Amino acid sequence: MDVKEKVRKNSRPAGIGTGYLSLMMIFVTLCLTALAALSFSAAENGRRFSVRSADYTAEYYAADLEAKRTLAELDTIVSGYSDYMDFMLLAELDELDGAEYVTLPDGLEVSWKTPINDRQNISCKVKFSADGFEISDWRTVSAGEIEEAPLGVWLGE
Amino acid sequence: MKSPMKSVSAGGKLNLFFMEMIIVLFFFSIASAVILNAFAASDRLSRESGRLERMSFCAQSAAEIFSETGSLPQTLEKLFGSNSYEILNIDLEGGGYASEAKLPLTEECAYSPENAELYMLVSVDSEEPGGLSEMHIIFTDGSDGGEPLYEIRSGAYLPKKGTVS
Repeated sequence: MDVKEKVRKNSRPAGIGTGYLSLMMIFVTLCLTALAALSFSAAENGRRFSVRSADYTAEYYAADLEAKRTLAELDTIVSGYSDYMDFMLLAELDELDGAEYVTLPDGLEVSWKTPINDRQNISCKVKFSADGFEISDWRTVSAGEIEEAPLGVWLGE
Repeated sequence: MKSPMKSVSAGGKLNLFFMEMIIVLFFFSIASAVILNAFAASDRLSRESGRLERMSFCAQSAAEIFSETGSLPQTLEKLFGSNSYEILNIDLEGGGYASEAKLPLTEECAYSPENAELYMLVSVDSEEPGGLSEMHIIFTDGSDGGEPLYEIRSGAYLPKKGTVS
């Protein structure tokens, strides 16, 4: 065996040729980067949702407290009168911001709205009578939406 | 024309391979550091949102129970179980009614003084028991005088003659 043949034999490529490592590194790095970006995006979306949900909870209960404060004020006013057609009572109710009332044969029905945020309100309707008051409506409604709009579902008729 | 690579001997190829490996490892370590930071940030965000959700649910439960009972001891008892809380201060002076409680929280509103991550400060103010009561809940981290993490106000109006449905 001459020298040239020996050199050719020894210069066979190694197990992994040059360049493969770089390609693998680029591929693995791209995969990891994509995974990290997806993970971060999902976590950020989750955090944003949690913050909005927590903020809404705080806004709702603050509005609920305000609505109860209005109810307490109304109860204090109404409990001072036995006649619900009393001019003074109706004048006091007129002074309450946003409150609307309807006199009934056996009592007085007062409704008002407390804003939760710029999109939603708490709609309250309370009936006062000689036995005290009864809450007939205490629900969240969209601001600007017609409350009594039909849902358009089939009622089986 | 002969390629210069072909003339490289086996030992030279091995050197090239190791040189490439060193360069690849160097860049990979830099990329890994950046990617690991992104994963760590995701984990931190996820933990923060989990903690915020826990605080929100806990506050919501407390507010709902309080709106039905109007009493801080009953609210805490229903929320955490009996004898699991301590009212720090009850002030009945001046016809007012105020009470305060500080609760260490771990998972899901559970009461456990050990390894508490959160503290729930609850205070109730009302002109008279049974009237309009206002509950203020503040969540802070474990440290004393920590920054408020989440805050909620709710109320209860339960006059004797009225009915709330």
